[in-house]
Amino acid sequence: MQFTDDITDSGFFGSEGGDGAEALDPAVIELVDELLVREPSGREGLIRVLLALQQTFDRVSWRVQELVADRFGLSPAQVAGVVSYYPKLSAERQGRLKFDVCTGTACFLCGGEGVLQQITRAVDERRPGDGEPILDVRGQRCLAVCGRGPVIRVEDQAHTVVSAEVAEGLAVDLLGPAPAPEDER
Amino acid sequence: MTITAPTTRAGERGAARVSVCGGSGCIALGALEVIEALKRRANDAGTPLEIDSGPCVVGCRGFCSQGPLVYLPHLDVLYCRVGRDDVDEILQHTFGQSERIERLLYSDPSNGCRYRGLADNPFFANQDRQVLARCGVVDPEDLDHAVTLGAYDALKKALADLAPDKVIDLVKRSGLQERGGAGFPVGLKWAVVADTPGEIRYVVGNGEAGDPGSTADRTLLEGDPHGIVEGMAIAGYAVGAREGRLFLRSEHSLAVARAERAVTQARRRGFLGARVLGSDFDFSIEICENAGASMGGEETSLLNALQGGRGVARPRPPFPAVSGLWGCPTLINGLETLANIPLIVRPDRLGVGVRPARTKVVSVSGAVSRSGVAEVPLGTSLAEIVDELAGGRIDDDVLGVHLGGPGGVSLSTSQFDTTIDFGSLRSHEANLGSGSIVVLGHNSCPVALARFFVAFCAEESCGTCPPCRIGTGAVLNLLDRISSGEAEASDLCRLERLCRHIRRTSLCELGRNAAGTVIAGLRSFRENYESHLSGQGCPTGTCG
Repeated sequence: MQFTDDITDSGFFGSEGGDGAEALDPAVIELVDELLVREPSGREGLIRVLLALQQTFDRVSWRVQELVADRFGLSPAQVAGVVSYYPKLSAERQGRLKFDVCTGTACFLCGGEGVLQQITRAVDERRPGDGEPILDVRGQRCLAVCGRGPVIRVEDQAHTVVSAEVAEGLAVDLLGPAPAPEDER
Repeated sequence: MTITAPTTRAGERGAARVSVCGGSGCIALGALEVIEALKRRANDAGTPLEIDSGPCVVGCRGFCSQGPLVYLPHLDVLYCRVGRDDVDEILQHTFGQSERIERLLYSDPSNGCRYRGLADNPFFANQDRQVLARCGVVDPEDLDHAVTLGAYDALKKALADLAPDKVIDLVKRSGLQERGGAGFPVGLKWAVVADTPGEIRYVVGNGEAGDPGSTADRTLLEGDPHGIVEGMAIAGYAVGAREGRLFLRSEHSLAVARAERAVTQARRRGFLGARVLGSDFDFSIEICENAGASMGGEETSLLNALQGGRGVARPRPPFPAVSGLWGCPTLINGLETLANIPLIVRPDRLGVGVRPARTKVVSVSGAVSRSGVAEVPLGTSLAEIVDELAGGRIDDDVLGVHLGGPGGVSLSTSQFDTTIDFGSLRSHEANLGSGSIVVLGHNSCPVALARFFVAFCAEESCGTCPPCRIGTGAVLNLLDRISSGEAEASDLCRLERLCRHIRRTSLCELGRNAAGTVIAGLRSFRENYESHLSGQGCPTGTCG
């Protein structure tokens, strides 16, 4: 995890300023409180709230974690412990274009792992130094098209029997030469 | 094109209503475009489909490798790999007098034979669909449709005619064992929860099978969510719980959406909520999404996740049946287990007495020509499943199968007489697990497969106990040495010793499964492991 990068300033995670503009936006506070209203079961709803925030903002920033901790009556460390444990939650921003590679057993047997490795490498090579990621490359178990692997899914469109080269080509096309589009938030 | 009027109204259930598979596999392959095209045609003047709202979108039929699937029930014709451009032709066939469309029928690659519908297709003909009976038939988003096909009949009967202990007795007598994991007797578990003193009890549906190769739970949820909701409600009635939690994988978004819809519909109709069906029984179900940690289906990890914490295992005893969610007695059953409950409790109109739980849902994949999710009688041999249901081995040099995912067993072709049941697998020191059957072709390497499962378990290890946290990493290192041809014979002994130690000392199934996979692989494919040694490298070229 990236604790050391962030614990430099004041605040529990040293996150005042510089940890994402959305954390300062009253709309975020409003959303968290709105989500909480729908959670009558107290702490049981924590992961549900975090998943909803992740889906909206492509991450749960440190500042937002502090806010959630405050509302649930937990320590920020307890919330950070949950966020860092689950693969679907992340303090760092994920790419908005979802690029799923099936890592189920059947796809593994016909070369799915090689596809995932090659795409991850290609995306890492093209990631701008300080820019936000465009593609969120994820291994998924599984995409339920077991007879036609390796399978990838790009923005809800499945591609079957893909070679690593074809998959990389799709990823590179999506990344494109242009810089990442501005996030509207 | 001209379409003559059908002999039956298109909107009538079970009549000429075209059904399209709307499972996530078929959707990924373009089923939504087919559905849209059919709906557009439904609005065209003169098309009989306009009587109804269009095609019946059903859940997964399990024939996943051939999607998108379109089924014409009145003709028993199943079209495979359908695209939107095929829709006009299909409608002409459905409502007109044209011949069936040969090119869209399923073609068996081994003999070129084309099969017309479900009755003659060996994938379906070799099944005994009990739990999956409504999957692919019912519209999973339509409660009325499910009710006409028998959903909630068993709940009605339980509430009207059976005391809770009688329900538990029925489940015990059915011989139902947990479908997944080690096959614990379900009735016994229910009795422990019911007999443990406590004000509050919970029922948890465990939708985290912990197997990267199984899609059975998703098939059930996408195809017949009301079957699982009903099973949970009956379980709640039997053990005295008023609250249920359905724990599902968030990446299975369609399954989660359909489960949520089913729960809402059931609540509105009085199958859930306060005073279920006018009885004194209150029961609610809350859907809880797993945020991506597999936990291998481990119950105590699941409970911690349900409580909003990290999904880490805790020592047992106390077992969840005694002290589970928030310290209360908690019944945790897998989804296939819960889906079996209505079948056991449903009205006995034919006077058949106790209904034994006699089937297992399996997902077949790998080097076979027909992969997918199927339901077979317990006692079916691997040879029957691989050669008949799944269409035979794609190549003649099949190495064997891996059965049951992590924690399962690798079997060579000489062991294909092994049957799918709990007893025969126990003799292999393995669990039936999720029921996944992966057929290993001649180019599949058992070492690479073992590494895949161990890597899965290592990644999902919660880190609570050292044997799993450190041990799975050490096993991975050894497997890497073997894969790269750097290992010596003594490394195989170290590997086996280490795995036996992990299996003996791990806190939960996750660590035991990782080790068990390697031990099973070493037993069935030792020669293959040995051929990796001393710089020879992988015989199939898969490793390294």
